Amino acid sequence: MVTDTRTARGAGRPELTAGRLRPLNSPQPLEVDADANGVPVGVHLAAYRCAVESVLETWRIDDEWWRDQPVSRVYWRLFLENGCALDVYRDVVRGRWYKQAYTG
Amino acid sequence: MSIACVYIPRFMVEAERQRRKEIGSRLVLIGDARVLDCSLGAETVGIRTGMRMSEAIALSHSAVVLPPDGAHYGRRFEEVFGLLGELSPEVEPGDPGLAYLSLAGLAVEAQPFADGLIASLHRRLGFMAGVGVAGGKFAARVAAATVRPGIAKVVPAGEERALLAPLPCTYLPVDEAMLWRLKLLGLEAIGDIAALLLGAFQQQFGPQGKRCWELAQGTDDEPLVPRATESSVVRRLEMPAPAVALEAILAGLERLTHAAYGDDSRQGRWVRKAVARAALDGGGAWELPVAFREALADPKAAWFVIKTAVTRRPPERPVEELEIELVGLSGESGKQAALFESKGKLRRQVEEAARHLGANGKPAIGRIVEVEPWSRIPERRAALEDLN
Repeated sequence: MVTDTRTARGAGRPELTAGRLRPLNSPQPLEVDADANGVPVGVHLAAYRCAVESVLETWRIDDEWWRDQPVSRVYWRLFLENGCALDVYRDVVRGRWYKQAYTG
Repeated sequence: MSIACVYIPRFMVEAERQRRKEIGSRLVLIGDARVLDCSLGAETVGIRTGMRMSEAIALSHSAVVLPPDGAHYGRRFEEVFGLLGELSPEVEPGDPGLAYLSLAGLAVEAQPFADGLIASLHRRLGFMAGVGVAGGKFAARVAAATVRPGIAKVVPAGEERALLAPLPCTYLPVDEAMLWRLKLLGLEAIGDIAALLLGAFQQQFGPQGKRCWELAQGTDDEPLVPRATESSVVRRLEMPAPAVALEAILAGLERLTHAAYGDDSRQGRWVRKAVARAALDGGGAWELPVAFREALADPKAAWFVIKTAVTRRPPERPVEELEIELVGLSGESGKQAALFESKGKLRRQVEEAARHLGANGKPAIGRIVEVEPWSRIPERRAALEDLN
């Protein structure tokens, strides 16, 4: 009989269950003002509305279309009038805006 | 020490003539906004490299104008470089079509060596070069540039000054401003500079003047700097028809990336940089270097970075041929590994500190772990592991 060594090998380590892992960089809902073409012109930050100075870049992600909840997002890297850059995306499926840092 | 200089005049034009037989003997201009290279016939009507293309076309309406294909010229020059590397262990590349070889330690006579070099280049690669052999790089370069292609000139030791004396100062490696001042002072030939006292000349022109004066005397101690050979993996794909759709280009590049990573010559080494290239329909080339933040051994992770970069700056015209080159091959991942058990010790210390902090009701401490680092969805890439 072959002994199952998996239990013995992992005995010294903390068990990595789903409950011990927390997501990082989760998208945060954000109120965004967009023009008629869907281009963001202003974002509502914690205390005030900040106008978009310029759109630095935009790109689209379509993924996991085979799942129940497909991912379809249009990202915008915005330069705000307060001098900060902000990554936001519009969830094409649900029609909502989120902010989320995107590193390539 | 003897140095041989190999000079292939109008290298880009010659590379295009070999590739495009339909050009025949027509005048050729290569460049975009400005002329990068032009054929001898174009030079005779007053066209010069660096001239605005519109001016050049006005001078020669019948010339064939070609967009520069740097990748192709680079490949052809690599072939030249490879051939020179068979003749001398120390070869220094210069501008396209120019290279220096050290003859130090070689059991050869300069003249037969140079003649053989010209014959090899012509027979194997179709290029006609001029070769100059002298004690220093500058004199060798001047000798190679002043002979007709196909001729070798050997400058005997001590005769460099005599070779240079009648030549105009434009041969000296100086900027336009200094050339203009030399002309104002009536110093037309290199020999005019050699006849002056160093002190007076250096007072006028500073360190650049001292260097020129020494060159004019035939003194040149600039060392030959051989190129360090860097191994790389290259894979090419010829498209069955010019590809316009980005999806088709990405599919081709993905296949090449995986093929390059699977190449035996990579020998399991990690890759620090990839260069995507394409030959464009109607001439011209596209090149996109992609440097990875850390060396990658996984083709999927590399392809994610390459794909992101290509999607942001795709080729602007239909693509005939695609190429991926993996460079910066290294034996290590670039990550600093822990020595002995220090990593486990550090982990235990952090866990101990986390327990103390947790007991006092302070915020929990976690460690970032990679989950799907290649994922296009940011929140899937990493997670926080609870250490409390």
